[in-house]
Amino acid sequence: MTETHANAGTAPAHVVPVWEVSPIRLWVLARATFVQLVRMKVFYFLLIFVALVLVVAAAGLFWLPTEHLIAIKRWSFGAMYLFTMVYSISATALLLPRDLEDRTLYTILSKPVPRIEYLIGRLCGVLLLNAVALAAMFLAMCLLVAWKMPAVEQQLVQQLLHGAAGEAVSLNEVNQAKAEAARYGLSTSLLWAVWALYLKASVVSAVTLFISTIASSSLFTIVSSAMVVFIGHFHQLILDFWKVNETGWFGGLIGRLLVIVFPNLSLFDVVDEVITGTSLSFGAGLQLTGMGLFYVALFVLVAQLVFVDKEL
Amino acid sequence: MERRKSSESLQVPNEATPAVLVEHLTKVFQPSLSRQKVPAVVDLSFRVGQGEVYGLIGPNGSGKSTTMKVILGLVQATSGRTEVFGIDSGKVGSRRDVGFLPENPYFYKHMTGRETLEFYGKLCGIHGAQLRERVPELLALVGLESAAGRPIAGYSKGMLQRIGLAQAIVHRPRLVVLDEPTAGVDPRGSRHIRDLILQMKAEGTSVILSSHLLEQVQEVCDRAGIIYKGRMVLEGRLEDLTQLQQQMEYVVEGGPPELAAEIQTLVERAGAKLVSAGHPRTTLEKLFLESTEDKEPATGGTRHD
Amino acid sequence: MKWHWRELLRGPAAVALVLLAGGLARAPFESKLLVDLRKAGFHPPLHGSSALQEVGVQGMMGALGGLRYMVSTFLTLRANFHWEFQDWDKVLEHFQLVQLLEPRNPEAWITGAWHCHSNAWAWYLHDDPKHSETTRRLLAREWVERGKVMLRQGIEWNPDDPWIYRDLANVYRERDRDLCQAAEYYRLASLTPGAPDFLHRIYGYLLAQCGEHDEDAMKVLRGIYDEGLAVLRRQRVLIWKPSLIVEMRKLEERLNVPMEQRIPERFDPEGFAIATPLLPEESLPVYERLLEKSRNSEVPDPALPGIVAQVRARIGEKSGGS
Ligand SMILES: Nc1ncnc2c1ncn2[C@@H]1O[C@H](COP(=O)(O)OP(=O)(O)O)[C@@H](O)[C@H]1O
Ligand SMILES: [Mg+2]
Repeated sequence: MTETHANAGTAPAHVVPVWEVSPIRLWVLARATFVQLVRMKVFYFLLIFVALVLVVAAAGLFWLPTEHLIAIKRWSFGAMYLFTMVYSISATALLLPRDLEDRTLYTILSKPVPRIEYLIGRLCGVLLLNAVALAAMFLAMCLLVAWKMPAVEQQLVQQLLHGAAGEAVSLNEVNQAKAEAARYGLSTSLLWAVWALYLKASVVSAVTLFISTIASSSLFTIVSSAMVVFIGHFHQLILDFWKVNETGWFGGLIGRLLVIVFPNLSLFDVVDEVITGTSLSFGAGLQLTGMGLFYVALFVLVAQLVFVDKEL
Repeated sequence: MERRKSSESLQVPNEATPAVLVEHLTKVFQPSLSRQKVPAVVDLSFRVGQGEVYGLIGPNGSGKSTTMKVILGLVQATSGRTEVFGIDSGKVGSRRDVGFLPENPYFYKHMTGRETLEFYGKLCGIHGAQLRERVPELLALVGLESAAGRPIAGYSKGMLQRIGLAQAIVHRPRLVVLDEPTAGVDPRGSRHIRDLILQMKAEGTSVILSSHLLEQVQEVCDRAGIIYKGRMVLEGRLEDLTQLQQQMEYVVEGGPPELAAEIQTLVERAGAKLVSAGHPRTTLEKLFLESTEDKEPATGGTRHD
Repeated sequence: MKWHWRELLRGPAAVALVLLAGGLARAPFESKLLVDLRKAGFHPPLHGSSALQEVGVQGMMGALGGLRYMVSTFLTLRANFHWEFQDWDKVLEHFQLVQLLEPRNPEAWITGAWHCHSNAWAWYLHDDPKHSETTRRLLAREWVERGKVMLRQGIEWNPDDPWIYRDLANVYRERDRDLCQAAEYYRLASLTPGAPDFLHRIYGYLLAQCGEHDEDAMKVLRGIYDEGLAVLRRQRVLIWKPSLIVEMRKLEERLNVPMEQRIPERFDPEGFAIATPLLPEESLPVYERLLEKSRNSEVPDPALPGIVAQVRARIGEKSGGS
């Protein structure tokens, strides 16, 4: 028994001070992860994306001209959301178990690589992939919106003339219509929206990374992460439900625990409002960023807590 | 216990800190779903001097891999301690001068052989011109120049083992840990690997290698420890271990049956006794079988990996 | 059994501890952020008709995450498919789903309601082969009511969108011939942030036409007229609004406005005191005279040459085109 605790005093095995984490090695690991994912042909999804959004852009399904712009953006953001969620979860969930299975983890960790570096490097690889994919999709969306914009402006003005029932329309009103179109066009708030999406995906990746350190199979990791994503969108509902119904102290406790432990992912859902013209202030954007980084750091920390003691 | 004493008395040729120090190492696994504890290594002690080639020998499941993982900090000791060049295995710094080839190694299959070596080289802090110089050198050393541009996914077992060896020594470590380096490799391939180990030895690199195939250990090791069910049952210099026996063995090729009868009479005339006659065995293997069978019947040790 | 404090910092206990501490630590920041976002118009609190409905909508949104717009577009397409086969119940059903998925999208309410109050209405009134004349009238009315209900729900979710009010007003105007109600909804539409000016004008016209609020109507139209004058003074832009004058003259008659307070018969360019909206052809000589006067005065008006050139260009465009 004394032997068992003999090494408790020297316990922080693998725990390295922050200054020992090497950015170069992080980059090597992140790049290897990125290349690995790219060679898994994940970017083919982007082609589907382009096809899908082009179809939406070309289709004349919408009565309000601004709706056309909104539709392009919604579908683009929907596809971005799909891409980032699916890849954040599945890519992250596959990485660790596969490394364990292939014993590549042995060769990596028997190099002077602290475990935290391995975790962060892997995560960064996934984040890099998300960043590249999101940037590409966002750019495609912007081009499409910019391309559609003049037509929409014209339609809006025509609609205005029509709505004014044959009367002349003041320049002021025309400008109003154009401003209306611009509200649905490109804006810096769109950048915030895509950034918020990216933050959300990063949080999901970090959560998945954490789960994959405790899970025994990729399938379990994927299912659990999907659950976290699911519950992460229900914070308000959980709180409301708990207010509306007399769930008793036990239900209340469970609800409170869920809300505390699970990340509030719906917080990052600013896309819908931004698309329909609400603008996000710089301050709010920074706060969102802070919240996202906090979540990522938190889940990397708990992942490290589990991983540092993991028997490989 | 006595065995270990004898091993302590066997002083390492180099007076400096040993390359590897294992002291009273015990590792008990507790699989998460069962209450049952699996003692993989029990109170194991040995040391490997600098520039020495040390063999860990034992049947499957005897705890060789586990010992190596503890030395490399991949698994934490339940009790006891391990050091590499005087640094605790738990510290990342202890891995600065170590190369490891795991059992049945596998690498990122999307990478080519060259990329694999570059990847591990960079992890060890080798960059730029130094890396560009080192990688072809290693590829030549392990004889994989022609396959360097192909993805790992298409590599044979022997090629994987060789690329594994190359990545283990990419940063010219002072200690190389090889877990079953020749397992599953054809005779020519294992010959090559053994030559590489001898070359490392010639360069003054310390090596620990494990094996259940004994002839290879015999050829390259300075010292060896035989472990069985997690315990050290016999340890020492290879000469010493083989000299324990007073027996001699003659290997004869192509002799007619009359020769056997003649030898028999010669032996009897000298007042000796013919213990056995038959096809040859490695002395170490014989030794090994004796020392493990003496202790316990070999039931628990049949594990296939 | 010595228990080292570091043991606390590892294993499942540590994970639970860190997660809880992290969750508690972030809570105040998160609620502050939520308040800030709400102020800016994000994460609007729901105000559906019942708590259960809120829960349902939220649940649905949560479940579909960022994909609900894709699903709802798909449902819209399905609805259009049923529309081709005049299967109105199915159309209604699909649009109700779409509205459940994206209640904050005015388009969902407007289009869904349009199918009810216009397409289904017209079909029952004119094309329905199965029913008698009377039944068809009843059914048609029923679909108009359905459309109105839908638009009202849409307004509840999107009180800031002018177009749902506008559509509801138009239903009152065209289907019910209830101009007062129609005026009221145009008024509400004109009050939404960023609503185009013409909504207010149409509110005024409808109020004038409905016959029950002549004085209010006069106030509204007078306001528009005065504003037009102000614009004319400020920006020298003539806005041709014949309906305004027509409606105001009618009101003046009905309300017996004293002659001197009525709007003038003709435009007097000299004093900018009175104005009748003019066509470009009519306004050109006015501006030309003003320009001449300005050239002879001590302080020439710098804006006038440009205005004259613009008006000329517009006339030129018209005659060139025809
Ligand atoms: N991660 C693990 N969990 C539980 N038991 C393990 C684990 N790794 C090894 N063991 C057990 O420890 C013993 C020693 O295994 P190992 O060190 O791999 O033997 P060797 O390398 O000599 O074949 C075996 O009985 C094996 O089943
Ligand atoms: Mg083994």
